[in-house]
Amino acid sequence: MKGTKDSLVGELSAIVGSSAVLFQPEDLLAYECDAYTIHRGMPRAVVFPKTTQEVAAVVKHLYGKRIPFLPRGAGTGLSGGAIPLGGEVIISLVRMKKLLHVDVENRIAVVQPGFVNLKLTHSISDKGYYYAPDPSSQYACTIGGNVAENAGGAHCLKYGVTTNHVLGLEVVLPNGEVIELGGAPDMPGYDLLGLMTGSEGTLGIVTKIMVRILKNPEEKQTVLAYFDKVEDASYAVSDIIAAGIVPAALEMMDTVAIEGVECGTYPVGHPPGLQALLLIEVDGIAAGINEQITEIVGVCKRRNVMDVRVAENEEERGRWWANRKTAFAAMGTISPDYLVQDGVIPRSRLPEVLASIRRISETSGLRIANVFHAGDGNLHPLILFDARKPGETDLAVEVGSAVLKVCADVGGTITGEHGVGIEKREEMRYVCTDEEIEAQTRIRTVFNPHNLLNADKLFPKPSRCAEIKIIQSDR
Amino acid sequence: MIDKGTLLQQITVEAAPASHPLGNTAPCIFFPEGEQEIVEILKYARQNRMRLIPMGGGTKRGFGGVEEMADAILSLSRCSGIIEHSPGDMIVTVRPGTTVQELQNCLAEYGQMLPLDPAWPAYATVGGIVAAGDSGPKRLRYGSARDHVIAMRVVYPDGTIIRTGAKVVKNVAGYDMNKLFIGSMGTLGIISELSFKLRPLPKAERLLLLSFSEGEMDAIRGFIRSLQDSRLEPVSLELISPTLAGRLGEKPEYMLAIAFEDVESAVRYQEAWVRSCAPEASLGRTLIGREAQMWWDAFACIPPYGLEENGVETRIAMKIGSKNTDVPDIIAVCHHLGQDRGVTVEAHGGAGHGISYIFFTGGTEEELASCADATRRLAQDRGGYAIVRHAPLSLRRRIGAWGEVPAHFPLLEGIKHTIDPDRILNPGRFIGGI
Repeated sequence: MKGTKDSLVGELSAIVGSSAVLFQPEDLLAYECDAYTIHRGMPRAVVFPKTTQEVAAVVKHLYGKRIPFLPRGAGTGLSGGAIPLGGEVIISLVRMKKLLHVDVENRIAVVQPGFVNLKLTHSISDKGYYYAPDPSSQYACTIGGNVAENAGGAHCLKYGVTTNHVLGLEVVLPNGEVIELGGAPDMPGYDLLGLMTGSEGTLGIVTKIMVRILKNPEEKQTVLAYFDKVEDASYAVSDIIAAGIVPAALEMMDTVAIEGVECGTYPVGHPPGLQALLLIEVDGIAAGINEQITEIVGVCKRRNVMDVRVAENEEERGRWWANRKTAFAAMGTISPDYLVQDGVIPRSRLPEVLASIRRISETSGLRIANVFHAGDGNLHPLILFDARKPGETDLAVEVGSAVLKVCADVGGTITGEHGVGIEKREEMRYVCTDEEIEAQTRIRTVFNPHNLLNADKLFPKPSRCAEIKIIQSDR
Repeated sequence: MIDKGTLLQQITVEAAPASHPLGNTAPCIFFPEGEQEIVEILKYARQNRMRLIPMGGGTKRGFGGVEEMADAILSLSRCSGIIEHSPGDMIVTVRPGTTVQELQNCLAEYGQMLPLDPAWPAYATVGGIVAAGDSGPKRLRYGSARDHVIAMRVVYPDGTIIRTGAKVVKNVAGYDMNKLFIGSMGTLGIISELSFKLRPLPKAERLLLLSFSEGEMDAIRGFIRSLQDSRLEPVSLELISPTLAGRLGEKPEYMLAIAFEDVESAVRYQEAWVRSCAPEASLGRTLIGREAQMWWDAFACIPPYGLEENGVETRIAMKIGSKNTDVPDIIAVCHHLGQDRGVTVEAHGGAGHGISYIFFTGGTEEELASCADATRRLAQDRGGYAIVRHAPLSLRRRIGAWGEVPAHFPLLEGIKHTIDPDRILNPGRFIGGI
């Protein structure tokens, strides 16, 4: 291969064709990181297989030579799951982007991993169907990536996350073997389908996905409620759930977040000075929606809402959601840089956790915007910082970790939908004992015995105690 | 027969009947009363190479396994009760030996429910239904155990306690280890605590029973198709064979049990839709609220189960997983399987979730085995599978409980080996002799 001394490039080109291999340093730069931009690492090469057979052949070749590799979708991941630690071959699935099969009668669709999330809904909406998991990046992120991360979204309060919608997978194992999981419901054997989903590309490379598609709900209504106290908004969230309503979505934004989205691409015209807003959506049988909306509006009023409105039409509803879904990017307008966190807490602990986050913000001097899926207790604190100021990036990372500690301490967890990746490897210790981490790495070993596939992601380095144990047992 | 070490002195051990027609028995039963006692029993068992059969309510004794006997049964029946229920978070944490009914009763006081409707809820324990991956007709709307378990504590065979998941409704920190144990048939660890996400009890519910005579399979398929293509949100769409409908006290015809659970206005609207769109002759009763619940209570007591005394007629239950659209054919073909064989067949299947159950009663072992074989072939021909959900030991040995192992079986063996290398937990109970 011209322009490189790396013989591997020629070998990979022989499998996938030379137009499907990147190896020039300037081409590789784009693959140094994903949407978690704080960490960067250079891959050795990037390959773009077009078929399962090509993925399997590439993997087999790399496995044989014990060269580390990792899969990558659209690179929208927020925890660094697709970032090389240095020297890996990236297997990009973006050229495997076909919708293979739709069977509305059985409510299934089969896609290749590079198929973009939102395109699935667009492809089946004429038949009245949609794909439920809707991460904010759904216009760009791939379903393969969604499976790796067990992606969530605003509507998973009622409909669940990716794992609740994946019915079958074709997987290339780290040794190049191709297996099929699922297909029929409750396939006998350990639930590898469930285990593979959310394994962040450390157990296998997904090359085909069968997902459940849902019929569009007959009716949808969306409520926007403004509060001048965060506590009132938090209690309203609990009261709605306690009233026996299962909203399709229940989102919250605080002052800083509202300031951001109003400066962003999709301002709604939220009044200035709000402490919190709730975006609440109910869907289902049309005949039953008004009753629930009336109850929600009643709850908000009892919790001292300043203003509460029901979207008058699809256009208004769309604007409210565009405003919410672009919240992360909108932070770029009020801060040079931001770091997204992803803690989860029991929703009844919302007021105290928000108070703790406020204290962390005050102590550190970094502003924190809160945008989150309040209904399922999934917080997305956006830590605003300026990377040009010395030390501020490190401070932002520390603040993020402190926020996750707060979540873990109230019985929550460190990530609800963004994954651990590189970013939260050490924070895994907030929620797992050494034994619990080992239990998981032993499962990894069953699939990925040489740790070649997405090596050293997801889990912290062995703790000092464990290292001492190993040293002692070596003696 | 068991030389109890000092650690074990506090733990109740009882002698058990030496044999049982369903197998999966043992000469003695341990009754731990808490997690620490489970740890001690497992450590003891491992040191002494004892093989243990975990058991909850004993309803699934006829499910899986080709062994007559292990060294001891580990009964979780005394590890019961709710540990923590946080109504505001709609999360409950329970001990494994709690019966499903007991849990539902407690939750109902708070207007909540565990949205699972397995068989025999008065006896089946939450640990048992999760370990066996049980579900009922309402999984159509609510999903199965894997959609509701959010956290567990599991005692590994070496006595280590592993927490999986977290007591929150969303969590992607590390592997989704919950999934490993759900449906693992107790072959990996002993579940000592489970947390579920709950749902509010529906404000209203109605159950519509539609009947179709035997020649009307096309009408059934057509109506299911139109219902599924509508915006209705049925909680169940269960097709029931004529014999089973008869046993439930309904007209002995093919029956569709269509349930709606929502606010009153939505439930009424959906009932009206069915009444106007279903073939007129099929329309039957509508059961409302408590009446509907009682009908489902009776439905949950259909399958054969492991607590039946000796001497009852030999019965086999099979579970089939298939495409949704194959369910009507599967039920119809199975309905006729018994005709030349002197076997009574009852069957039901979820036309929207793809799980069917077939029950065979009477006939000789030969005839029952031939029905089971035919069922398995039928499922496989359609790209699905059939497992034996309940059968006497002798029949399980003859027909195998699980069928062929999948191509990725070495991974399943690898998982078993890494967690239970000495094979002390339920050896041979699961697929491929795991």
